[in-house]
Amino acid sequence: MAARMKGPEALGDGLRGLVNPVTLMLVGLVVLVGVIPFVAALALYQMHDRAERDEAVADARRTATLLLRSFEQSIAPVDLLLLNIASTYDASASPVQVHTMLRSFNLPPAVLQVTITDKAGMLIASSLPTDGMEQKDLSGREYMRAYLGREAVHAGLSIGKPVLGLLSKKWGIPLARPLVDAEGRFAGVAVASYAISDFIDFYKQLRTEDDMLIALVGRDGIVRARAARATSFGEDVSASRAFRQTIANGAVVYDEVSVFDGVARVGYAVASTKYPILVTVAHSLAAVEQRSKEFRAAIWSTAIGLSVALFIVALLAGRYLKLQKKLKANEVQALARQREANVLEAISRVPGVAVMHVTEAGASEVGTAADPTLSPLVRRYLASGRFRNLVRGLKEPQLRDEHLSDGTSELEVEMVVAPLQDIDRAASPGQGGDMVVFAVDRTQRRMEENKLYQMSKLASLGEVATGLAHEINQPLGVIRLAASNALTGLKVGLPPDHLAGKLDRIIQQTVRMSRIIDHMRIFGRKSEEQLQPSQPTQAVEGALQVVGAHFRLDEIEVNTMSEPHLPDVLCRQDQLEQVIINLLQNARDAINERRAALGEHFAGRIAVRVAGEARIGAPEQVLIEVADNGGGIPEEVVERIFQPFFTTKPPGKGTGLGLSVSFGIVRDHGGSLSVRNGSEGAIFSIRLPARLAAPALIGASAEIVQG
Amino acid sequence: MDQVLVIDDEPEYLDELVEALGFLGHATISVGRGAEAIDTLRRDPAIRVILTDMRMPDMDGITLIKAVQETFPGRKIDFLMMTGHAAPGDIAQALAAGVVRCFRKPLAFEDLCAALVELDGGKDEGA
Repeated sequence: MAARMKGPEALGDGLRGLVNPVTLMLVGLVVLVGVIPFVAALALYQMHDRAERDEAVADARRTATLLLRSFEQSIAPVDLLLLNIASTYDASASPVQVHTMLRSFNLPPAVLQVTITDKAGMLIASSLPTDGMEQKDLSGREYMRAYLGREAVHAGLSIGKPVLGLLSKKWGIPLARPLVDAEGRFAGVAVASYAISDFIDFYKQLRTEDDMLIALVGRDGIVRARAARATSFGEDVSASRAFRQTIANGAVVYDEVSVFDGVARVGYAVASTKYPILVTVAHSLAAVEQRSKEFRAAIWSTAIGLSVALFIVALLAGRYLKLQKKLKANEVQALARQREANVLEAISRVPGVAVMHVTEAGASEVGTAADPTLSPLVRRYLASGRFRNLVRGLKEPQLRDEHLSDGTSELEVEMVVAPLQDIDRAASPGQGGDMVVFAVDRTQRRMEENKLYQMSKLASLGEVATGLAHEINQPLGVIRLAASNALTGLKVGLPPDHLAGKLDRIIQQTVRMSRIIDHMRIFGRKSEEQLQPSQPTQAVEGALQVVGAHFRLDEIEVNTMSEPHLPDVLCRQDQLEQVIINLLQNARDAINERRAALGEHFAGRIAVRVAGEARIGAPEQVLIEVADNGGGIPEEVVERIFQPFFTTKPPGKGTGLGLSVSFGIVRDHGGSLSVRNGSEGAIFSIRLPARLAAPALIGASAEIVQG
Repeated sequence: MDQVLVIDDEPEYLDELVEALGFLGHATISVGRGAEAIDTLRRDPAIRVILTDMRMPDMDGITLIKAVQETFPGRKIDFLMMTGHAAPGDIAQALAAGVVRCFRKPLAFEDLCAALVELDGGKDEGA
């Protein structure tokens, strides 16, 4: 299940990685920037498209209505004239009389001529002068056919197809009304020819575009006048949907493709209520769309412009945010750096502390408050070739104890030398050669420790005084008696051999004494400052020399066991002896306490073992173990046993300094002092680094060469 | 003169002390350990004075005195003590256990001789 889920989950994790607030915001912004202007443009475009079309229709309707009204107004006086003629026409009048009558009417300028025919369609008279007055047959005319041969004739005005006037030689639209005789029978037709050019010229002027259509159509579907790219008349549009609907409804929106010029148009068609005529006005769809296109281009370019502007704004906002973030990060970083600097500064202000930054070029103080004694010494030491050699290739921080001297003052300085990570290069620490050094002046502390050590030494000196007195008294007693016996021998005249024997014995005893006194001198003098190489067994022997006799008197058996070929340790031998004496005395006290509880027969035993200890990854060390059979240390006390002035002994017996001072001494030797309970009693272990294997771990003295 | 038993764990000292007492005419027997002292006393009934060191590895002087008194009840033995420490406590303990005199080490030999003469004279008077 889990395996199957792994694929989608990994993908999901990847997506989740992408989906964070900033990415979402950016995506949102891009969508907004892209979509909003384009949706707006599309909506506007759609709206505009319709509006353009509606506007074209409305415009056509306005024009068509106006044209129809104008047509009606133009026709109305002519119709009135024809009505006049019809009412005054006398069928019996002679053609000359008729002609005179026609001449008497004031004809509108657009009327080319007015003609009267008889009921057979023969011309009777015309408003125009007729050449030779020969008979003219007009029965063939389309408008005449509506009347000729019919009993009941249409009384209204008929508007015929354009014809070329026989007399005027001009194209006109024949407007005809029937004439009746006294009995009311069809007697002929009065026809007024209206100049077609009048309309066509007007229509041509009205047209706003090449493909715009203005047409005057009769109710019979025949075009009376048509102005499009070309002007024409006579076409039959009775099949057109717009025409049929106009006849049926009076007015209709025109939307079709012309069968004559193949142009798609929108417009309006309206029929006259007075006359059998209708007007169509239509704009070419191409022209409408052209206008739309221009608008669309404008809209699109605006949208694109807006998009670009928004995108730039978004980009700038992103940049700004990024910059802000960076500034903030920089600020945080600067604050952190300041804090670090403050920390270092605070550390460097501590008296007896110097913080140094060491580069290839030299050492410089970190912080402003330099210790006037410590800093110059440390700086000189850090510049020395010895230091350079010691820390070459240093990868891990190192702890160093150094004695620094400039001739007037000598300081014991504890230093932490730590290689620094390079700032610019991606090198690991130690490759760049930069280091930070924390130096702490330990001189004061060492002096105090020494004082404490001397105090404890005095305390234990008192403790061992009785033993030492016994040790010295013993040879002194022998010497005294031997001398006295020698004297007696001399007096009684014993042989010289006797005297020689006595003197030998005296010399032996003085040697023995001077050995004890020598040791007292070591024990009593101030500690050596320097560590000296020595065999660890020497300190054990020295310690036993001081307290051994005393222990024998206390009936405590001390066994020493040491491995052959032990490495040297660097130590202050008197201090190490003191530590061993302390441990032996503690063991003795424990045994005596146990003996007091168990009875005098209890056999006290102390085992001192000296051995080498190999360690993995570290220099060999030397182990000095002091084990007793005094029953061990109570668990609740073990942790505090090395604390100063902690003692389990009755008041006046112990100082509580022995183990704490011992602990400090061993630590100062780069070693450790620990305790555990064995099967019979406590086992104290001193561990010291062997000398040859680890010279760098043990503080060595460094004399700085002046100049 | 009374026979004297000297007990000390230091052989050279014992050697010199026996010789010095011999010069003065004291018949002296010496042993290095407390346990040996009991055996010697049993073998030699003539011993009337014991001079012992206070501190010894196997048994200290006071323990020895008590052991002698327990082993030989009714036997007249005077005890003398030597001590290198001369701690007041030690001396008081010794006197309480019946020690006639305590001597500090290094031993003032004349004092020891005077004490032996005194013990001898006292017994002569009684005899």
